Amino acid sequence: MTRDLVERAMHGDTEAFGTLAQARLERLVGAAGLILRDADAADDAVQDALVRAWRDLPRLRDADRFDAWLHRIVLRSCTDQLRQRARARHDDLSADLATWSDSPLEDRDELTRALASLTDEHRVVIVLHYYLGLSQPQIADALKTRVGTVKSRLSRAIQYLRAELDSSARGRPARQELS
Amino acid sequence: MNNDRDDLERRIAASLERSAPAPSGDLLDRVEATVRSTPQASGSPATMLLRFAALGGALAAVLLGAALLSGAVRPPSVGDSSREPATAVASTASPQASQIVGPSGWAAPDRYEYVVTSSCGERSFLGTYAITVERRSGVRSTARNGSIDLQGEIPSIEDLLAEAAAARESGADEVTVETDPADGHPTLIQIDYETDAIDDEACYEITEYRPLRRSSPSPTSTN
Repeated sequence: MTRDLVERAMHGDTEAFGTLAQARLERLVGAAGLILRDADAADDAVQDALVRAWRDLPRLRDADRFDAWLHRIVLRSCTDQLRQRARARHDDLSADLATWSDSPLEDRDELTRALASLTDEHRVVIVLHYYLGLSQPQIADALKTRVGTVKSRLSRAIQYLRAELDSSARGRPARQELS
Repeated sequence: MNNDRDDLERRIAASLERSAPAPSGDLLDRVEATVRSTPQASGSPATMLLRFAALGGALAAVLLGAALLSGAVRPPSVGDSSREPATAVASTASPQASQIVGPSGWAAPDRYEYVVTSSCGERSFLGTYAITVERRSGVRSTARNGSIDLQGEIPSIEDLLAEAAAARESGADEVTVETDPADGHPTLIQIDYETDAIDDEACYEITEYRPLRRSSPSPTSTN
């Protein structure tokens, strides 16, 4: 079914593409929002990614790779936004801090706070694995990195989250470095 | 220990579910409206054929297919390296490009000439070109045989290295630069932005590279 829709979309069928987009929209925006920690930015990232996917769809080598390919495009869109933020942070630290403190996704509970304090690269693998349900090889494919790197990042992120929860339970707001 | 980890993983998944934002109500409408006004990139020859046929040009599609099979028409992604090289003279395109040092420590001399065969991908710069690069002067000529006018696209080797560096910076899936073992100048630059996509590749084979000592015009250039 998906393959048929993808092939139709590859040949210019906007309705088929709309069906594909609708079925994936919630999950993609959710993942982008968790990575970017900003719901509006997630909407923008996914919109940009879907339009780009539509434009480049005739170049997709294999219709069965549609989802993996789309994940990469969404990730790239998120990465672009994170880079822009990093530049903005460099240019204007106060503006950047204001953006983060206004984030509606933060501070709902200890674990959510700990997740939000992960570095970008560790948060990405956590979201891909535990939210989108991608396997380690699929994450490696999406990030174009080695499975060993993914395994290592996941392991370190879990260690970090556990340490954060432990220190929080002991009433100590300790923050360990995660690089 | 494993139970602890499983429990933490379940809590992580649950926390992510709770924290994930929902799409705004009109996002799908916005996407669909933009998609309707956004043309798709042209695909492979096979895809072009299918699309052409879907538009009702069945007879023309058959003719196009026959032409492709016979070699009378070449797909746009294939560079024609068999043709005699066109000749061009280039200035280095940008200050950034002129400062680029190759992966083996090669640094571009003030004047040099080389032949580049550009293939792969769907781009305007395809084919084989003899190029003379002069760091201080402007472009003095474009394609010698008149069949292809490179206009402002005449690349120096530094430009090609800059393209590879930019591709690497932007997260391209594969960027390969091969160098000459003697002096380290690049001999092959290949870029594949997305391995899942066709026609986004760029391949540059660099041959006949030769530094030039004197600033007199190359015998093959024209004004």
